[in-house]
Amino acid sequence: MSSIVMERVEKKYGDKSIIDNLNLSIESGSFTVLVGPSGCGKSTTLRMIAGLENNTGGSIIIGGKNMNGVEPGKRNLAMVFQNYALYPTMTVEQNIEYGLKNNKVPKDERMQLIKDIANTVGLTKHLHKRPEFLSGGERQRLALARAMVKKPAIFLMDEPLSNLDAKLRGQMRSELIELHQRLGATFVYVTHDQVEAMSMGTKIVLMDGGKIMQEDTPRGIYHDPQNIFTSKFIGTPAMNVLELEQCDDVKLQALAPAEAKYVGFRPEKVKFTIEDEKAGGRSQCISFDGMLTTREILGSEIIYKAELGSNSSIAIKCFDSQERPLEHVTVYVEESSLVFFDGNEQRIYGAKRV
Amino acid sequence: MKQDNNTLRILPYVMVAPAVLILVAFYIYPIGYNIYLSFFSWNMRGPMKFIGLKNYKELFSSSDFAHTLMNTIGYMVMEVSMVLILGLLMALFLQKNTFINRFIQTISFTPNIISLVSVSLIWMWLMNTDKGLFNYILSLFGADPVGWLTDKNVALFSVVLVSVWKSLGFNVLIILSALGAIPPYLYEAAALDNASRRSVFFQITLKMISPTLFFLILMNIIGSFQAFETISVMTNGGPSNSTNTLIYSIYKQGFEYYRVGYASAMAVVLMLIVGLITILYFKVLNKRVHYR
Repeated sequence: MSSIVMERVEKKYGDKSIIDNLNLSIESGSFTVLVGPSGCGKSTTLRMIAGLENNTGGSIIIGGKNMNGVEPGKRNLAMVFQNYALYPTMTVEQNIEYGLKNNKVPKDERMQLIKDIANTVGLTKHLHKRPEFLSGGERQRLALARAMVKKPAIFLMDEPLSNLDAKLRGQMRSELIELHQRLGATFVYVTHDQVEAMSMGTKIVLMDGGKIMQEDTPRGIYHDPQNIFTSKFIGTPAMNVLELEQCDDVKLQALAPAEAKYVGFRPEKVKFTIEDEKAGGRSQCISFDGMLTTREILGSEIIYKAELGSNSSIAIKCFDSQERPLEHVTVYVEESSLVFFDGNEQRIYGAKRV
Repeated sequence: MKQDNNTLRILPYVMVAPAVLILVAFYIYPIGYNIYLSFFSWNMRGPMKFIGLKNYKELFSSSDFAHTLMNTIGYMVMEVSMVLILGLLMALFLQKNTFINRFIQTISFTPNIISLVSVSLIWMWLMNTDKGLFNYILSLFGADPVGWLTDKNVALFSVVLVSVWKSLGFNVLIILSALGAIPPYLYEAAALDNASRRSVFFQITLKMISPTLFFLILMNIIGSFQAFETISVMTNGGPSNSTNTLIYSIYKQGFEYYRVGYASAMAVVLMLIVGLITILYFKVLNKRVHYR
């Protein structure tokens, strides 16, 4: 059992409250990603799970045991740091061995474990080098090896890929997914990169200002945002969110629930043409008039920015292979793709999915 | 065109000339002249007489010189080990950046900026066998008075004590900055690796500051070879030569007995010793630097 339950957890530095009343349960064996902008408390949350920070209130329960006041080394977890935190004075081998030694693993077994893990991560050739002589990718793998060799029930990762270049990052991402499947351990992964979160997580916890904004599967968090923050944080480009007051489409006004203040829809739901054969056709759509101002050709898709009359703009993601001239257009969004938010930026349910 | 070329060729030499001149006038020439003098017998007034290696022969067969050398080594070992051990302990103690710690740190640094000659006089008074504060305190506990500066078994230690007192603050400062430069995430990684406090200290803290400690060892060794003021003021090399170190003996031979050649030969030996230690230091350092 390696589930993590956080109950009414608080973190204060002096008078400053970073996290207030956080309730979160992370299932055993899940790949949970804590994601959010800088300063949202995701790293602090992770560090409290690790025991590197003490929670000033509430309790953290790991595998059914209350871990308040338990030392980091006694929590049966391993952590991969953003800058890897390798011991610069030790060789690769000693770096991996250090945790085992402290846990009093006998020497023969230690050597065997190091050999195996070095083989797994491809560091066998480098065992006697110091970390400063390793490349970025090798350091990353050493950090992973050091964590894995202890066979912990829980892996904590604090933005471990942020120091790698884009290509290596993509590669490490899929390696981590495979690793998770192979080990079956609980992974808790902190990142500010929503793409990383979406691609790796089985569960995503989106945080802002020390609070959980939404806790969901990648599919759920994308297609069913509970608030404007989520809708804007997840997805590139972000969801288009317009103030209803500024929209003059009569049909839209009629569709909107009474308390609705904002309407949102994903950029890829915006169409330049309506497929009439589809049930409903034009009658099931709302329309916007606008001027296309920019165009980003990304290969498989093209992203346009359209200025609407009312001082607002929307992004449009289009999968046509041919790019359009930047001109005046009318675009359409199906009613079923609309989501509504109230004055507190919270989702109004009852309306259909995006 | 040709002249321009010449100017260009000379220009670099003109640019470095001031530095080179200073170096030659104040470092290279004196070293050379010192080596030159060591082959002569000269009393600073009369004629210089070339005697070859005789000065060195006398030096290495003199029991006084051997005694002086032993004193110097004893001084060095005591000084370096006391400064480093006390300095490290004090730095570890002062690591937390609180008001009282900053205060202690400042206080412990002040001896470093005070003239050694004047404090030596104060220490002499403290260490006075009959009227000194130290022996007064000892007498309160019923202990016999110690001849801090008059007992030949204690005097060297007493002189070292003053030097330790003076340089401790500086060493603490350097060790503190080295401790502060250890990235905190290493301690976090160690905590997750279930490391004991002892292991963290020996495997991480001590290893990470080892380049700094090596640097301090070298600086203190060189400093201890140069200890002069305390000895000159407090003991004059006595009692019975027990605090007569190499540098003080050079001074005595040269400027009291006017045996310039002999003193020069001693200076050459001192230079060789210090040079050797420096080379050794860099050899070791190259193997063991852990800055990254």
